[in-house]
Amino acid sequence: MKPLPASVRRTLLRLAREEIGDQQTRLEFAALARLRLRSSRARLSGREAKLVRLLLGGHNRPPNRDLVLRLHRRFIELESVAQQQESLGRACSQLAAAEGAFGLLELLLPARLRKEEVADAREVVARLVKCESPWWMVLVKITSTCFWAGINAVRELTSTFLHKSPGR
Amino acid sequence: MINAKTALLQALMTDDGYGLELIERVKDLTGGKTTLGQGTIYPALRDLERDGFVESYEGETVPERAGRPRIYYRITGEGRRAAFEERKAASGLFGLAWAKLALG
Repeated sequence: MKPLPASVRRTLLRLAREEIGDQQTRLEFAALARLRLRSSRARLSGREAKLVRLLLGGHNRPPNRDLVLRLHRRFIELESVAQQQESLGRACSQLAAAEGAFGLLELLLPARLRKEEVADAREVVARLVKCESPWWMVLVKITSTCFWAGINAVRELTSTFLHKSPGR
Repeated sequence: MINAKTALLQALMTDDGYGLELIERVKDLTGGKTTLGQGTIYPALRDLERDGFVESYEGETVPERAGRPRIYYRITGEGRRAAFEERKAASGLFGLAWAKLALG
């Protein structure tokens, strides 16, 4: 028995909250919940199970097929919106973290490194976020950029100093 | 095994490129055997520029870079000569080694 994904559970609860007031829709939702439970063999949390039991209780008549299909479509629609929102939120927080770290880093680096290394790192982070990479990959990229940009800044300073020194 | 500067000069022989693009190009050209990291590629490019083997110019601006342009590198005549010499030296070395191996 696999648990329902968080976004599906949220959508299920939202649908239930929206529809619970209306007796007819309660019947439809009960049918829908039964349908979902049967198709996904999903395990619900205590609160959801209680809600589904409440909705299913005493409504064993065959449901209105058209209405169930309509609700089912809406459920899928809401499910996809919830997933999109979740991934958008994740992307936004990853980009904000990267932006914060790179913004601080840029205060300490010379212009050439800002334009090249930090901007390239920003591009990599944007690519990682776009292909929905896990958090740790973005974090590794941010950390390694801070580390290497720092080292390279010191190297750059040393090299500039050595090139300018009259002994060379 | 391959020196970063050598790899970059060979990669720039085909076309101009910027940091990220050159990392990918070197990886492709060596069949994944050589991967240049952030700690290697940028100092190597700047050293090559200081030595006059490559020159840099600003390219297009993309929104992902927070309005900053890409810094492209182009190989100079001197760079081409150096790349050719390195290639000749490497093929001479490998040719000799393989010939000795074949002769037993």
